[in-house]
Amino acid sequence: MNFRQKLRQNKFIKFFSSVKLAVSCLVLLFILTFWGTVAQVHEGLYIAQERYFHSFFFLALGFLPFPGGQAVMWVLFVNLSCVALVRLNYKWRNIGLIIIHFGLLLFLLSGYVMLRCAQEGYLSLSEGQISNLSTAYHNWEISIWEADPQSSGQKYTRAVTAVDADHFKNEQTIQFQQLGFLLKVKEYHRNCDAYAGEGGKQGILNASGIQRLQPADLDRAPEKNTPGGIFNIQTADGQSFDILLFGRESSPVSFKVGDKEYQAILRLARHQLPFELKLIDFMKEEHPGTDTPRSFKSQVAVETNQAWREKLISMNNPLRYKDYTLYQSSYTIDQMGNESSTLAVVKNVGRFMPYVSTFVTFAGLVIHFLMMALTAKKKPESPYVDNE
Amino acid sequence: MLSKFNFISLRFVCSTALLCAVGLGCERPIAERHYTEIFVDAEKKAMRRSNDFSRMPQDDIHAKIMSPDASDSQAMPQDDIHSKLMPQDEIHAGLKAQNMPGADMMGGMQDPALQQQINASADQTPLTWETPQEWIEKKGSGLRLATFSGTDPKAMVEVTIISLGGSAGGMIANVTRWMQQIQIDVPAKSDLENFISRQEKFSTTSDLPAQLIDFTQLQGNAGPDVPSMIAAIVERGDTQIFVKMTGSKQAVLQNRDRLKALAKSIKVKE
Repeated sequence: MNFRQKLRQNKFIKFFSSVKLAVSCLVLLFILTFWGTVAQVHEGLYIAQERYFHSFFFLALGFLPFPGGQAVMWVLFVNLSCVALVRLNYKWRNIGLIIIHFGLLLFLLSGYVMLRCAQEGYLSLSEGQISNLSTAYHNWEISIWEADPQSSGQKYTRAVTAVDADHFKNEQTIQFQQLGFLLKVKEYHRNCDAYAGEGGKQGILNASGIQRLQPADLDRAPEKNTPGGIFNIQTADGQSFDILLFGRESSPVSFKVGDKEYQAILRLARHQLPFELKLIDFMKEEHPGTDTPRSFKSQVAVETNQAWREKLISMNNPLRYKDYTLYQSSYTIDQMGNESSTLAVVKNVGRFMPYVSTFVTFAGLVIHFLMMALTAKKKPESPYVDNE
Repeated sequence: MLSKFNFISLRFVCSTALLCAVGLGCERPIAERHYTEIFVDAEKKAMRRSNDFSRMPQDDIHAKIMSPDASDSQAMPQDDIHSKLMPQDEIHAGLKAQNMPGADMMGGMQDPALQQQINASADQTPLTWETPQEWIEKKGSGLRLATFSGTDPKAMVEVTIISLGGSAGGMIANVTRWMQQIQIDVPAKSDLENFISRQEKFSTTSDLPAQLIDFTQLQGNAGPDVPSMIAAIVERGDTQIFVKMTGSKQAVLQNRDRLKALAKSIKVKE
């Protein structure tokens, strides 16, 4: 009995390498795809994606647990892996099917890589401005940095420590190792209103005079939700105080820990780019006699390794650098006539994986059909080692 | 058939539950991230602050701007071309008066430090008010909490509500700038203080002190169609709420009581 035969006896492997399990997963994926697509009309793209495709489970009709897309795809991945491990008959006549199997595995793997590793955000710059950060569309973070009295709002370089705020739970503690204090979540709301009036707790530090937060229902459009929370800061020397952060504040709250002054703000998450980007010029052309833009493009300079190179970004001409792609997204022109350009920033380490998976699967199908055609007169033989 | 179905379902449920348990067990605690934030503001603005107007067109329109003597906004041509150079609203109130770095004739508005201060001064406290029946309320944008427009085509006015923290530049600076905006000659400081002291004071329904600044009083001989303004300033501790109505002299006079009623109805949402 060889190794594969031994594995086939294993109940766990036998259980997961079932064809029926694969069929169940494919049926569920079909239902989820249809359901999720239809639900986008009422629930919005973001919430539908989270609920039907990114979740492990969700409650259908409000009470019935239903497997989410991620759970189904994980089961399918394990199923295909087990089949490849113990049941696929690795012979030349099955080469097409073997390639198809690995193509499908690669599809699921690329889906996971893109789910976990893809970063989407935007970068807005006025003409002449330089920045090295992209801003997330929906994710929030608490950013803390040491206040620099020499720094001006015109030019600064800050070493920022941040924690993602989207999964904060009440009473959760976050240790800021480098800053030397502990942040405890006393109260966190993913959507809330801020009030300055009576009824708030006294002695809470806040940059805008907000004294209390009123939780609000989550909006379908995530950009309409403004998070806020009250956090307790505990220092190594026993100091303890509360700060209130609200997502719509533009000024950070300042506080002292020991002899150092820190500033903290709750804002959309920032991601550092491996380069600095300067907007040199924004150009907009309009259809004659109208205000409707015909085209708009940005002349930018990219700084890498202390060298600047210029690049024109337009609608179908993005800037690509390593795993980053910057697309022309939108623009604003303020009352002063200052032009700002907004670039969509996408970081996708696995951006070629879906293309490779498609090619591999397609190649497997072509080979399989060709071999079927060439050996049509022969009695077909099962590509699997055993039948259920 | 049913037993087969149950068997398949059981397999799926068991396998999914197993993977979920593994997935949930792998949930990591929230970890801190570190990054360096670099920001440099526009060089163009620095150029303007240093009064380098070499890229400005060499024509009559820009002649005064390029003059080395152009040290205040009076040097700016008071025409349509330049009316949009600087936003004429409460957000920019008193910026020149505060003598901030970079708050010169053109560059001041673009200074990011100033912009930061302006943004910081915007008060986000939710307010409520009662819209006069003859006006249509539109959703606010930017720092405007709300915008209203009159429905009477013969007396069109635009009304805005903005709430700013701090002194927002101060009363004298605001009134001076508003006068310039509607092309009223700014009197000497003592006369200006006298004018302000004569303006109607009242209290809102929530007992906040307020004052109505009626510029039509300074336009006695002007025709009914000259641009004019009436503004109400409601003081709420460290915050000032500006309710500003612009339109022709005749239109703002017709809507004066509505503006006052709107200002009186402003309350903090509790």
